[in-house]
Amino acid sequence: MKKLNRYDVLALGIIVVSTLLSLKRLNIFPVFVNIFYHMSTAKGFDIAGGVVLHDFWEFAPLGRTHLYPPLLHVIMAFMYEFLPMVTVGKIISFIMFPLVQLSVFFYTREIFDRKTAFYVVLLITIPFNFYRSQALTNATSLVLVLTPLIFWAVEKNKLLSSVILMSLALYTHISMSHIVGAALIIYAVTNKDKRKMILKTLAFSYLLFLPWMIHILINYGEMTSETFGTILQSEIHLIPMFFGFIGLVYCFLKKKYYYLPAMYFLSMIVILYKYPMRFWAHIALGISILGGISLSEIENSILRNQKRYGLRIGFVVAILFLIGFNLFDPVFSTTPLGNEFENKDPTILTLTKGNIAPSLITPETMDLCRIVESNTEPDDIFFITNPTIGCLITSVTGRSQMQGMWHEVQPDLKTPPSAAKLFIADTNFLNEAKKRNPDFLRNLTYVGETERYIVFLQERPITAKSKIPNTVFPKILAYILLFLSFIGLIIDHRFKL
Amino acid sequence: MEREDILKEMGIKEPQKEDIESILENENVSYLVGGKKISKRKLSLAVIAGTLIFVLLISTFYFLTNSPEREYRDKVRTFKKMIQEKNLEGKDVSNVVELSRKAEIAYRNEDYNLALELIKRAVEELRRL
Repeated sequence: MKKLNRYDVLALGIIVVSTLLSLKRLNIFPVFVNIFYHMSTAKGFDIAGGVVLHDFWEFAPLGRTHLYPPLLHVIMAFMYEFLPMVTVGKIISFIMFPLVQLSVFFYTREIFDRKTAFYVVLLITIPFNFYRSQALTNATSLVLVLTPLIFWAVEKNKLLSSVILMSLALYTHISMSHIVGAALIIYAVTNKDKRKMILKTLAFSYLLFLPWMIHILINYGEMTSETFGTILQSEIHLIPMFFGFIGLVYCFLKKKYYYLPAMYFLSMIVILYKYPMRFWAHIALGISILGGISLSEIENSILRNQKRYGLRIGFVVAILFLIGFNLFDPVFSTTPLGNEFENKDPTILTLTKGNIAPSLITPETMDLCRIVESNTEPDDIFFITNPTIGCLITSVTGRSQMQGMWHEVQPDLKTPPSAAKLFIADTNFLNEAKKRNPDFLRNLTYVGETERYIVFLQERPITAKSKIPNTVFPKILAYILLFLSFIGLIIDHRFKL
Repeated sequence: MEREDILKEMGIKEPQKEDIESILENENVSYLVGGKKISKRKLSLAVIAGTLIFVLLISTFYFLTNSPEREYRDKVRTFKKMIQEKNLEGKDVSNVVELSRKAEIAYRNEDYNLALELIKRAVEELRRL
């Protein structure tokens, strides 16, 4: 590890400031609703006693095939051994941005140089939509955290680390990790020095991923081919994108290890096919590495003749960029209906001002969880008109719901809501239902309500019960494996295997 | 600038001999002492090509998402601003009023091309006054 210098201090300063400001805005975590799915899955693993191949906590009582790679949920289930699930969700949502800042700092500092690492950290901290996506798309975020570390391990010829990290990425997200794999393959084609290392890394990690891959391939037919958003819905942060494109060309011209970030950026374009909406946020990682390289080289090139004050001028320029980029973030946003150039607040300024929607975990939703828990047995099923809130209820109470999130996998059959023990309706739904059918509340007994939801007990002859499937991998083994992988990383790093 | 000055600048007082090269390389300052050369040609090419790709991307998205409806709203904004800024006392604005009224009707009828055409003419008329 190189000694810290002033560029490191600047980069770490950005990370510390953004993390402290995030801590100040702790009420925004977990951001949005995606974490509720992961929280309910972790709770499901905890109830079942390990990794299962069938969701019993959603679309109950029949459930659906569980295809989501389990690493994040195993980590969350482990944390849940010591902390409440809501706290686990908060931590996971909070931690992903500082982690990606640190991992990209580590990779660029070790493989390129300190100045580049500083500019990369600066550029990745600009777009608030990347900050938000890191807090929101938790499994993808974890892959983005692992990606620079995989690149570092490959460049340093650390086979054990690269296999462990790549396997962790594969077990984290169903598609994002393959983008890393694709980047490595194209890199191997262009850089023959790394060919053997990359082939070994991919061969061993995909071999380790084989069990889950077979499970996915067997059940591939259950996945939908839906695309989310349109390619024309974009949010282009002009500063990182401008320097990023210069860096892209420059990396192609420089060749060798410069190829890898360029290949990663090109591989990420695949996201546009399925998730155009997310592309413009996730791309910040690739574009910031490229942008950092170009900014650093442009500055070096301009100052190369300033032999007397070169270092000082360079540092002053870095500080000016640091201030400027944290005040102005010109953005070009488009929708199919139009476009707009505007100046958005960069991440640090947004966190300072605090113009961010608070978390959806509120006293009201927690009250709803309490009502559900006190009116049901562990194997009872509830129906709620908003399945997202349903996932939150499952994660807190452990009760299964009749609908679910993560719509990429659909169940074969859905059970009618009348078979649920509890029926939870939002007030708008209830008013509409009563208008259409005045007898709607027959067989329903009021048990409680919150500001937006009313909870009823259903008195019907048939009530469905949740059934817990057998685990395919006990959680204790999963924890041991996770622990061993960290030990492997430390040993590989310390003892230069 | 001498190597010793650079090291002093970096706060490294007594580096080992064998460390000097790697420190200079890692710090990316070797270009200042005539070490690693930056390829100015490559960097210039990257700046030109990168800028071109950037401009191409932005303009593609701009033209793909630029609709007459949005342009109409922009023109209306300009039109209103001009009315506020111009001194129209004693001037015949009937034609301008008529054009803007027709443009609004066309906009309400979702004929954005016609609305845009009419508001453009209204802005032109206003400019002439």
